[in-house]
Amino acid sequence: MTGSEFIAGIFPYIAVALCLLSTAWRFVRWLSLPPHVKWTLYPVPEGIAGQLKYMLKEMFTFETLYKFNRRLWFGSFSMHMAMVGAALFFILYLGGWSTIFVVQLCLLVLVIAAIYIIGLRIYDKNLRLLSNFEELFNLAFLGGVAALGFAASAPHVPGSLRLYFLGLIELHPNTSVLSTVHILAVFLGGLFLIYLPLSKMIHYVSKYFTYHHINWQKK
Amino acid sequence: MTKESEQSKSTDPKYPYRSEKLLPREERVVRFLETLQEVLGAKIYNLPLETYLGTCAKCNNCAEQCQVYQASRDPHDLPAWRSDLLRKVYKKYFTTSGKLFGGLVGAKALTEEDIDNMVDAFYRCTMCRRCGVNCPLAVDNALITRIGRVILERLGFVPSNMTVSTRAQLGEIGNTSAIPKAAFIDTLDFLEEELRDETGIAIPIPRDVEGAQFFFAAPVSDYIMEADTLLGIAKTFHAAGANWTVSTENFDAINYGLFYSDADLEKILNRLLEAAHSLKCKTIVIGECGHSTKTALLFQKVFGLSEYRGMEIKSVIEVSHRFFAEGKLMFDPTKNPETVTYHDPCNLGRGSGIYEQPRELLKAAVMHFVEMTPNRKMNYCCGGGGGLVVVEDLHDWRMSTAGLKKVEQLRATGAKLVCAPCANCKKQLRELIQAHKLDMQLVGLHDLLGKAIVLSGKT
Ligand code: SF4
Ligand code: SF4
Repeated sequence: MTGSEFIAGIFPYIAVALCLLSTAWRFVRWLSLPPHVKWTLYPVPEGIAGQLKYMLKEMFTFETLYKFNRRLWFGSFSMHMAMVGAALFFILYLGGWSTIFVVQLCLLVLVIAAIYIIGLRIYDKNLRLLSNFEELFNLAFLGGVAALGFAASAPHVPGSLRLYFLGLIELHPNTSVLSTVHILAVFLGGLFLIYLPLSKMIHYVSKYFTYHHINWQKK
Repeated sequence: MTKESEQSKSTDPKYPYRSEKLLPREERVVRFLETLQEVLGAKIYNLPLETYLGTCAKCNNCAEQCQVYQASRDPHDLPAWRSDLLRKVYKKYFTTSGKLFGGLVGAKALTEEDIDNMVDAFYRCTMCRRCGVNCPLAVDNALITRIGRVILERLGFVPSNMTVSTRAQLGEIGNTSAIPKAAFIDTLDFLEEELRDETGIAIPIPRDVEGAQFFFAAPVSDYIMEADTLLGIAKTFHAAGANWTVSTENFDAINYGLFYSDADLEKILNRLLEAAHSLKCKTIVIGECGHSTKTALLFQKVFGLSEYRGMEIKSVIEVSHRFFAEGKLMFDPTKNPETVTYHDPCNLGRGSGIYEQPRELLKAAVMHFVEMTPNRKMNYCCGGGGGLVVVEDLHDWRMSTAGLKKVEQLRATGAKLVCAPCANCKKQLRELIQAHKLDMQLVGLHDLLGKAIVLSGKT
């Protein structure tokens, strides 16, 4: 097996498995911590519906940032939405829809947003004071993955790319159809998946605990 | 040697507040790390600590929420910067990534200078939790401040105003103002006389009544400073026909442990719970005081002895509101003709969820009520929260910086009275009104209720 075959044929499974395992590990770890001191922050949204409404609104508008930190909101909101958009439209693309250009657009937004936030973190004196290498690295990493993804999919996506990913899902990927850029993109994307849950970007899990187990704790 | 000079002798002039016994400089780093390890080992705070310290996005959204930063514009008052002082150390010594990658992931080996910074920074946060309301990741910098202070206390860094008071409370005398029992009983007699003179009715302040439904404890400073609040509370209980009592053994609800020490918090809390338990009372009613209410409410199940965990804990505001809702209280608002505004004490609002009850009571008992802007969950701290109001060394800073936003808010209401049902807020607001020459006065909630309450045909 060549290096490329390993990266395109085996590594994606390792990356996804590690990402899921690490996410699950961090979830279970936080779930297993004994009941801590009650530290509710009132008011607590009423009932599950109220909490869901709050969470969804925050997730899809980034209202807190929008209200108080508009400059960062532009970057952060578009970055997160572009991430969701890229994933969603890529799934549609795999399903046979002609949505790859939306995926490309999302990737482009991701790259621009990452550069914008890095710039803001360097330009704004308070953000500069708060940021360390890790914040900048995470942004650069994400931007890099998006840039490579964009390069691998533009300008014309060969239909074989779809076949490769469908093959991955069906557990017999055809790696021979991929170019070097594709393989690089798969490699970097895989690395990012492994890194994501181990980094502070785990906030997609921690938020559940900081809201539901701490801020909204009623017992 | 006088007490004063003893204190200043043990004070390092670099520090912003007097502490009683500082650990020698060279021993501080080791003690700090040992204590942080102990805190983590105790597991009580692990979930918030791990999530708060591990995931803050450094978005700086908290800066625009913080009344201290808004007034000072000093980057060292950025909530996330302050929390980072502890975060860096935690990362360095307690996370794999910090051990492996050090500064690259924001980890830093602890130095004595870092501790100096924390001594300053953690006592420039009023633990008001306003910054937590709009944190996209629900990180609460106030809890990080609290943990920071708990650790610093073990190095000797804690304002002596707090430790002296707590020593008096946990010692023979049993309360933070060192009022002897006989003097306390005299005060109760005096209050009863006042009630009789004012209303013409014998309104008792029952003492040590076994089996009373409500066990009442106020911050002891109320007995010295806030007679009108206590009179109002006595009238309210009386009008509602409630069976209540105070303890002449343990009558102080103050718990400064909230601001610097779990060990002291636990001892003080259990003293209070024990006093109610020994009188066979099922409900503890805490007087007008934010931090005492929150401490009892939030820590009862964590630090209270198991036999005390079933007791109900209420703020006197909730109890009065319930009497009112049940139709047991009648008010004549013409007795309070001035325009009144309401200050949400952080520990009652964000900390305990008491927002609407005082407003409903006020609207019934005063002629003109105006809201402060912003209010409720977004209200600004008075600037004396986190126990800072008792720290005399920080007085000028409280007036010029921490309380500045509050002054702007108060001024904008145009009200003649500001109602704040919290002993700490009352002290700070009075000082702010005086220092900034505001044309208004401070009152407690029950002061106003007491004036307007209709008692057996009399008002
Ligand atoms: S708002 Fe929350 S996530 Fe953002 S810097 Fe402040 S504490 Fe961190
Ligand atoms: S808790 Fe209050 S004082 Fe402390 S950082 Fe947050 S907003 Fe500022």
